Amino acid sequence: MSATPELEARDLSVEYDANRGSVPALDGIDLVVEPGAFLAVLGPSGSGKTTLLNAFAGFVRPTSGEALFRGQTIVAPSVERAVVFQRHALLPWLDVAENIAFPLKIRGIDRRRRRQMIVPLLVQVGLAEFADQPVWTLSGGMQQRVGLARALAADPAVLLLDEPLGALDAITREDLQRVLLDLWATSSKTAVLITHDIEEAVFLATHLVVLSQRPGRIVARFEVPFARRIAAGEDARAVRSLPEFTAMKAELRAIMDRRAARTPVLEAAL
Amino acid sequence: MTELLALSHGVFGAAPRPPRPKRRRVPPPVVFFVGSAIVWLAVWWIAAAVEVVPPLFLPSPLVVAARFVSTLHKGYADATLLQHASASLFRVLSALLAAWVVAVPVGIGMGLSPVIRGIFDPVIEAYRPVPPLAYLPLVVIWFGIGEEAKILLIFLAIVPAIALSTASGVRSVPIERVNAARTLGASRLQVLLHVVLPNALPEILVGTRIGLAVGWSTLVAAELVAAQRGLGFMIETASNFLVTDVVLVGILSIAAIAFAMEFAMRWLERRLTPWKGKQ
Repeated sequence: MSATPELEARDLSVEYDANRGSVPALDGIDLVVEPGAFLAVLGPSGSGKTTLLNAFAGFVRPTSGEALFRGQTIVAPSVERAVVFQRHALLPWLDVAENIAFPLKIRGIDRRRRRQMIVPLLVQVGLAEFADQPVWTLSGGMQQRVGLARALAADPAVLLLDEPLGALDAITREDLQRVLLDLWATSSKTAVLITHDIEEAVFLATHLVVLSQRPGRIVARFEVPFARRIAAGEDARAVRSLPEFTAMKAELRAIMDRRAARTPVLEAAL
Repeated sequence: MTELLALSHGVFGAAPRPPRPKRRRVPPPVVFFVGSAIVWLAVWWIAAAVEVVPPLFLPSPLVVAARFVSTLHKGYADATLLQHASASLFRVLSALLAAWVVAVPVGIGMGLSPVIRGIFDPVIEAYRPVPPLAYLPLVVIWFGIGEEAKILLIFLAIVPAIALSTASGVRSVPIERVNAARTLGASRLQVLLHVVLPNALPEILVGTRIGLAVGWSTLVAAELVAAQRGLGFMIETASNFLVTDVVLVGILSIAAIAFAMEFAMRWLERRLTPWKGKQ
C-alpha cells in the first residue's frame, strides 16, 4: 500500500561492552519513519537516544534486531544519512564556505565550482556575509548553521540531528529551530532529531517518541501537527503559545516526570 | 606596632568608597624581555670587572664582543664564524628534515593503529631518555666519523619528539569530526587526509619545536668526533686551549640561532594553526 519507510527499527537492541558483562542501552525498539517525516526522539540523558541515532547512522551495529534504510539493513555510515552533531564536528582550519562545501570537495569538485554551488545554502542559513570567515571565529549558533548547511550540501535523504542545538542559549536556539524547520520544509528531507528539550521536539517534529531511562524503550508515541502548520505558513510564535501546543508539552512533561520518578526503584531492583 | 595598626585601619577601617577598579598598566612583554637581558649582561660585566673569577675563565662582555667580530672576519680553527654556523645549521636542518620524513608517518601509524604503536613504542621509549652522548660511540662504531654519523645522531634525538607528538595529535581528533566526515561521504583515506592530519598539525608543529631544541642540544656531542667545522667543534677546540671568549661566542651563537628558529616556529604556528585551542 504505502512505499517502503525511509528508516525503520525492528526489535532493535544495543548492548555496550563494559568491564563486567554488558550494559544494555536500547531494548526492543520498533520504529518507522516515513519519507519526509520529522521524528523527534525525546528522552532523559542516559536513555540511549544517541545510540538509536548512531544505529541509524551506521556507527553502531545492533546487538539484536536491525536498523533499516529504505528496506536495506544499515551496516555502515552512508552519504545518504548525514549527521549533525552538537559540537566539534566542523573543520576549524577551513573557512565557512569550505566547511559547507566539504562533501563536494570529497566528490572531487574543484574549489571554484563548489564555492559557487553552495551559495544558495549560505543564503538559506543566513551566512552569506560570512563565507570567507574561519569557522573558529564564529559563535556557537553560527557554527551550528554551518553544520546544518554542510549536511545539506551532501544532499542526503535523511538528516540525523544529534542534539544540534543542545549547547546554545535560549534565544539562539529558537532562531535556529526556525532555520531548521525551514530547511526541512523546503528540502523535503526526512529528519530524526535527538533532544531532551520538550518544546523543541513539539515545535519541530511531525512524529515524536519518548524513550525511558536505560535501557531505552519507547514509552509513548505521538503525531504532532505544528511543524506542518508552520511550514504551511502559520506564524511560528503564535503556534508556540497555542493551547494545544502547551497542552502537549505538559503531557510530555508528565510522562517524563513519571518515568524519572520510577527510575530509582528500578535501579534498586537491579 | 603602629604600622600594623595603620595597616589594619587601611584594611578594616574607614573605607567609605569602594576601591576603584584600578587598571594597572602592564608594559608589553618585550620590555621585560629586553630589561632582563640588560640586567644579566650587567651582572656578567660587573662579575668580570671585579674579577670574581680570573679573566681567563670569565672574560668581560667587551672582550667576547671583540672576539665575536674577529671570529666573524678572521675566524677560529680554520673557519669563520659563519662557516662554523652554517656547517652546524646544515647538520641540524638535515637531521630535522630526515626526522620529519620518518617520524611523521610513524607517528600517524602509531596514532591510528594499536599494532603499529605496539611495535614502535618500546623502541622509542627505550632510547628516548638515553643521552645522545651515551650512544655516540655506537653510532661511530657502526656508521663511522663522516657527516652522516653526525646527522644521524641529531636525527635520532629529534625523532621521538616528532613521532610521539604526531601520534598524540592523531589520537586527539574528536570522534564527532571523523564520524561527521564519514557520513558526508569521505572514504577512510579522505578522512585521514582532510580531517585527521590537519587536526594533528598543531601537535606536529609543537613536536617540531621540541625536536629543534633537542637537535641543537645534541649538536656539540655530534661534532665531538672528527669535525672540521661547526659551532660545537669550535667550542670544543677552544675549550681544549682554554680560549674562554671563543667558547662564549660559540655558546651565544648557538643560543641566538636556536632562539631565532624558535620564534620562526611560533610565527609559523600562528600562521598555520590560528584555530589551535579555539574550537
